[in-house]
Amino acid sequence: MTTQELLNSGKLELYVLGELSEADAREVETASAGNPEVNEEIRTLQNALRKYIMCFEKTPPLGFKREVLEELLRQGKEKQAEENARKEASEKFEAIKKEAEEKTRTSKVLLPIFIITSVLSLLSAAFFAYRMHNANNSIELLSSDNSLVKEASLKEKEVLLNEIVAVRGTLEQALLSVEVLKDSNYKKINMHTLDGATKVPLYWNKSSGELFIDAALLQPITDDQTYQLWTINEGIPEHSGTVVPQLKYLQKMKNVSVAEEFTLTIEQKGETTDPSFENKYAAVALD
Amino acid sequence: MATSAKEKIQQDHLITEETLVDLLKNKDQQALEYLYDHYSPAVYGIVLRIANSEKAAEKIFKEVFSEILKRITEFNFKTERFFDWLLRIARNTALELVSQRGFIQNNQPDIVPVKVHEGFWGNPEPLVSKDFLNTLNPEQKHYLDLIYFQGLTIEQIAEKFNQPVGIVRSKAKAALHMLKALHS
Repeated sequence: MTTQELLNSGKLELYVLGELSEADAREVETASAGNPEVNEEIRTLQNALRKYIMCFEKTPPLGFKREVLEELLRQGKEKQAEENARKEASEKFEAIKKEAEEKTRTSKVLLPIFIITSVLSLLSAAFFAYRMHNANNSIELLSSDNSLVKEASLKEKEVLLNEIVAVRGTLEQALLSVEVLKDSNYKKINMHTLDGATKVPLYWNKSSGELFIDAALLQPITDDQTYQLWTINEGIPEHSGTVVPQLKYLQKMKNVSVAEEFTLTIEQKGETTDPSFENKYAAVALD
Repeated sequence: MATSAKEKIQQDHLITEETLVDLLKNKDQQALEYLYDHYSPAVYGIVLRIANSEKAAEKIFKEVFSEILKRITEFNFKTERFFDWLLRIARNTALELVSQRGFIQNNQPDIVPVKVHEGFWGNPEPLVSKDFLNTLNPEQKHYLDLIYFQGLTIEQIAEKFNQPVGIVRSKAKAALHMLKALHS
């Protein structure tokens, strides 16, 4: 569209009146941009319209100025207050943001420290837990040991007790032996080994029948053998008891009221009913 | 520059539009008073013509001034004259508020003194003591009034008065041509 065509199209009038579509208005603005003739026409039309509008000028009512200016002042103050509040809020937000960033930065610095500290704490906790566990185990072991100790102690006590009992028994036997030896009712009767080298004394109370043997000098024998004492009366042997060799005190045998001969034999373990005189160790015939 | 402009306002009450805009952008109270003193008749005239009621016009007028100050930062001398921008803001704001609040635009005779000359469509003609205005015929004035003060488009006018769009468009252009001719 040429300048003249545009000037005669009537579009400029409609443009000034605001009656063109957006596309047409843009076309007019583009055409007028470097076109003084079109610009001048538009300006002339605008001035004419302005002149028409100004025909309706009217001074506002008296006192209206004060109202309007006060209203504008109030709005200005409100707006200023809003802006201040917004600014304050913005500053607070910025401060919070800055603080958050600072915290983030601090966190970035402290994070490794926290991690290291946490790891160390964890390791320490694990170490102490381990120590505690060991300690518990030790306590348990100690407790267990204590039980063992107690058990050992009990066993030891039992052993001791047994020993005490044994000693006591030995002592009693010894005391008994002393009493037998002191008692004149007991008659010492020595059995002799077959070679005559060793004596094996017997202490017999003929009236009470009590009989004791002193085996302190008997020779040790194998584990499967035992010394057996026999009382022979009218040619018939009667078992008077097993004799333990090398005991320091007198051993009490079965009571014997009548006896013509005492014989000590070495028998196999368990054989106490029938003496084997082939293994006669010592013997004594009575008057 | 601002201080000298203010001094100028105090001295001779005459400053350039550029200086005025700068002062208004800085929320200068004296510049606001200057704006009111020099531009309120034009603004109030538009508002009253659009609102068609003094009571409504007073309310709208305050809001128009508020809108002018609110949007003063948008103003650019390179694209528009300040007075044209001011009138445009006043017109658009008033039309928008009237539309929003349902003010009736029926050109009641108590708003602007009219002599009851029936126009082309039977509308009253505003009686204003302007030779310029009196040279326009009622039909042309009515077209301009419908377009500028009532914010109707060519199509809306054609529909409202059951006229062909082309005819209405030609009449509107002719009215503005007449204004141009009278202006020159």
